[in-house]
Amino acid sequence: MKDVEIVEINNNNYVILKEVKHKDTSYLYLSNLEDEEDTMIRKIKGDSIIPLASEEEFEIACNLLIKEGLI
Amino acid sequence: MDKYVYEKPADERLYEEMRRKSLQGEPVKRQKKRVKIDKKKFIRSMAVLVTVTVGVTLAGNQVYNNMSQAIQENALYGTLLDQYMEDVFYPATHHVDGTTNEIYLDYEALGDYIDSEADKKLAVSLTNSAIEAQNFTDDEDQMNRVLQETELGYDSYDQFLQNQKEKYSGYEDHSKFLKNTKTRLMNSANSNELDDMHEELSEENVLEDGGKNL
Repeated sequence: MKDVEIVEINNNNYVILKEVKHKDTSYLYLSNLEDEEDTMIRKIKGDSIIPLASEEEFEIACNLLIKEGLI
Repeated sequence: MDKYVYEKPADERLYEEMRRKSLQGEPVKRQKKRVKIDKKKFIRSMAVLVTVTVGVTLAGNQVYNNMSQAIQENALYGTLLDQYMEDVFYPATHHVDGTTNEIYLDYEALGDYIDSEADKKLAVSLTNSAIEAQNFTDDEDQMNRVLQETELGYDSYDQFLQNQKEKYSGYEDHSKFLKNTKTRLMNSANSNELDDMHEELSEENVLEDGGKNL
């Protein structure tokens, strides 16, 4: 078993698969605990988890997965 | 041999859903609530995230910039997709029907890795990503251009490929590569736990049996 942090969004529990810090922002890569194909990216603001602001920020967050050498 | 059909639209659909969900919704408090989940489930979730995000990102309009960036970082190319193509996709596991152009994926050739329907699904997903990467890298002129604009010191795409083959030539068979890939995914997910995970995997004989128990 693996110990993971989860966050509730829209009544679903999402596992935090990866947290990547880029400049002053930390991005969270989430996967629905009940549905592996349900994924999303959020970012941390203070003690809250909020949606990304734009398409551009989404592309940056996707590219971070490559830059971070996730695979 | 099971019939396999290239499923690019499926990855694109998941990517679009992820994009849409990432941009909408309300802020929520980070409760730092923790649960225990099955390792296999965690790895599959990570694999879906990686294949959908990276695969579609590479295949999209930003493919040139992204691939160039990936090569510069030496993070993507030569690891998962390249090795999957070289070791798994091309040599032993596929057959193309010359009449219909349908691709057949030989699950048996994937050896011990395939032990469930979910594993087949993951293999198909990885294959899709491999095809996307193949489509890009088949364009030699494009790859030469990318390499010339990076500062890795390669004179040509052929030289780059040769280097990559030598770098990752240690894999003896598909299971070994896939085991390594799974371990990479797992370790990358939380590098701080690398040693603990490796120890746990060793205790469960995962590292010795080709990943059957993972």
